[in-house]
Amino acid sequence: MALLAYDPDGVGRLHLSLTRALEQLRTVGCTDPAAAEAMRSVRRAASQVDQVWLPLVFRLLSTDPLSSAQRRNEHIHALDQSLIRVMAEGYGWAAQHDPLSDDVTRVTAEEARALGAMLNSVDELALANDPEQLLWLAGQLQIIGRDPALSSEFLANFVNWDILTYVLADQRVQSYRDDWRGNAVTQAIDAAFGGLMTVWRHSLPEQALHAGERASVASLLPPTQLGDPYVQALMLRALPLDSATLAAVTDELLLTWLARKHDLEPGSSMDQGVENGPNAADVLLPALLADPAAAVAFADRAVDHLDVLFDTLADPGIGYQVLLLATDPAHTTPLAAERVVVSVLRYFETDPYHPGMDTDGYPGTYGPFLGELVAPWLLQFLGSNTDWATDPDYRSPLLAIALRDDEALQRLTEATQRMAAGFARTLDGSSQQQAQQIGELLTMIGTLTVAQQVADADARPHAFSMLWTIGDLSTSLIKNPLVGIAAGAALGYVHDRLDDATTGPTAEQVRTTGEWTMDHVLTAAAANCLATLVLQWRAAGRVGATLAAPPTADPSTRCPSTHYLRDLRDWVATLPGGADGPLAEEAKELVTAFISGTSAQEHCS
Amino acid sequence: MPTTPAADRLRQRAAVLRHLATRLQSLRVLTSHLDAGPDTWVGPSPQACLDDLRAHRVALLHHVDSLHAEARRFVRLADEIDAQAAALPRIS
Repeated sequence: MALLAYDPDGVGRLHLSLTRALEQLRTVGCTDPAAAEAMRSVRRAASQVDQVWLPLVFRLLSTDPLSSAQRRNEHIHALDQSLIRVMAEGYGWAAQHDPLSDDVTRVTAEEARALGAMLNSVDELALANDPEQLLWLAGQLQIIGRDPALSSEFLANFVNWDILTYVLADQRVQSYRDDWRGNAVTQAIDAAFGGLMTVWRHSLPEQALHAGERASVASLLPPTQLGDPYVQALMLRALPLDSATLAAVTDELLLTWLARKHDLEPGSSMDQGVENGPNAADVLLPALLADPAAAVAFADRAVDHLDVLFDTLADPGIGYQVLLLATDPAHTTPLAAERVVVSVLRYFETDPYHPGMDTDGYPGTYGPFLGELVAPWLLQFLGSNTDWATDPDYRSPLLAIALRDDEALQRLTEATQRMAAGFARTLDGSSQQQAQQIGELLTMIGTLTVAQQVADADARPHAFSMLWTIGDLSTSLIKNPLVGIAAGAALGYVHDRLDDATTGPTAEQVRTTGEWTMDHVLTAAAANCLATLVLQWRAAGRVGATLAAPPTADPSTRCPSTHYLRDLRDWVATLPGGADGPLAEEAKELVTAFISGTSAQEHCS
Repeated sequence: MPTTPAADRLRQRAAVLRHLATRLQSLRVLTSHLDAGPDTWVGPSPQACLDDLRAHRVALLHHVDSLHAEARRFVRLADEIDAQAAALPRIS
C-alpha cells in the first residue's frame, strides 16, 4: 500500500471546504429538461465529495499519523515514496496509508522535484543493487524526460550526478564479474542511465547535440568532478547525438581512456584492469554501428591514432565492425576509404599484438577482418586505378599485408557481397577497360598468392579459392554483359580441380601448380569475355553466321594460356579485315587484359 | 408588442436556466481544488482527489456556458414566435 503525506491544518481547511461545497451542491435543483445534464453533473460531484473525498479527509483527521518507525517499515525511504518522504521528513507533515496505489504512468511536478531531491540522499549502493527500484526509476525518468517542464523540475533539485552515476557505473562493471553477458542489474543500470540522460538532454542547447567536429564531452555531460571515461561513455551513448557529434566525442573520450590506460594522463577509468566485461570502448563504439555516417566520421578521425580501436576494446570485434561499416562502399567514398584501409594495413604491417600491446580483453584474430576490409577495394589496389592517391608501387605490398593470413584469405573468399559492392561501384569505362581492370586484378592477386601463400599448406586452399572467387565474381560483374555468361561453368571447372592443384609435396611443386591454376583462371576469364564479344558482333551484324567459334580454354592442358593464345592468333585471321583488322584488334585487346605474359604464364611457358 | 403564451413559457424557462447557471457559477466546489493541492497533501489519493475536483469544475463551468446558450436560444425563439403572431391578420 502506498503512503500519503499531509499538512494536518491544510487537510482541516480542505474538510471545511468540501463540507460547505457538499452542502451547496445539495441545495441545487432544477426540473427543466434543458438542465438535466447539468443536474447530473451536480449530483455526480456531490456524490463523489460525499462518498469518497470527505470520508478520506475525515479518516485522516481522526486517525493518528504513522510514527517514524512505522514509516520506516512502510519503506518511506524507497524511491517511489520520494515525495512522501520529502514532505514528511523535510516539512514535518504527517503520513498515513493511502488506500490508492500510485499511478506510475504519471509524474507530477512535485513528484519530479521530490525524486530529484531524493536521489541526492539515496543510498546509491543499495539502489545500484536493486533492479526493481532502478527500473522504476528509469520509467519515471523517461516520463519526466518527455516533458521539458518536468525535466527542469527534476534537474533543479538533483545535484548528485557525480556519486550516483559513479556508483551505478561501478556496479555495472561488477555485474560482469561472473558472466560476460552481465545480469539483471546491468540492464536496469543501463535503463537508469538512459532515463537520467533523457531528462538531462533538456538542459542542453540544441546546438550542443549537433556541434559536429567542435563537440566536446564536457559540453554534453553534467558537470562532474570525477570525469571517469566509463561513466561518461554510459552517459554519452544515451544522448541523441548527430553523426558527426557522436564521432567527435567518441574519439575524444577513447583518447582520454587510452591516455589513462598508458598512464599518460592522471586518473584512471574504473573499467581498466577489470578482467571481465565490456569497457568504455565496448560501451560507446556500438553506438556507431547503428549510424554509418558516424562510423565513417569516426574512422576518418581515428586513422591517425588507430589505437583507439585496436588497443581499447575488450571485444576487438566491435572495432572491426566499425571499420568495416566505415569502409562499406555504400557509405563512403573511395578517397575516404583509402585513408582508412591504408592506415589500417600499415598498422598491421607488423603484428601489433605481438608483443607489447594488448586490448583490454583479448587480442583477437585480425586476419579475417583484414580480408573483409580490403574486399570492396581490391580494384583500388591496382596500379592503374586512379581512385586512390597511394603510390601505385606501394599498393601491391599493402594488399599483401591483408593476404598474408590464411584466415584473411578465407574471409576474403567468403566476402563476395562486399567484393561485389566494390566492383559494381568501381568498374567503369569501356568493356575492354573493365576487362583490363579485372585481368590486372586477377594477375595481381594470383601473383601475390602464388608468391606468398603456396608455401603455407594451410593457406593453399583459401588462396586459390579466393582467386577463383574473384575471377568468377569479376567476370560476372562487368557492367557490359560482355563477360559472365559462361563464367560459372568454365571457372567452376578450375575450382573443382583446386584440391588437386594445391596439393604438392614441396613448395616449388605447389608454386608450379599454383601458377597453373592462375593461368587457368585467367584464360577461362579471357575466353568467356571473347565468346560474349563475338555474340555481340553477330547481333550487331559485324560478323556473319559462318564465322568460326572463338577459341576456348582447354582445361586439360597444363598451360592453357599458351594454347589459347596460339589458337587466338589463328582465329583472328579468319575475322573480316584479317589479323590486323579492327575486329581482330578488339579481340586481342580484350584477351590481353587477362593473359599477357604474367609471371604465372612465364613460368608456365 | 403583446406576447404569446408559448413565448412566455420559453422566456420563463430561459430565466430558470440563467438562474441555475448563476447558481452553478458560484458553487464552492468550483474552488475546492485550491484547498486540495500539493500544499495540503500529496500521494495517490490526494492526486486523485485534486484531479476529480478539477474535472468537476471543468464540467460544471461547461454547463454554465451551455445553460446560458440554451437560455439565449429560448429567448430568441420566443421573440420569433411573438413576431410571427404579430404579423398574423387580426380578427376583429
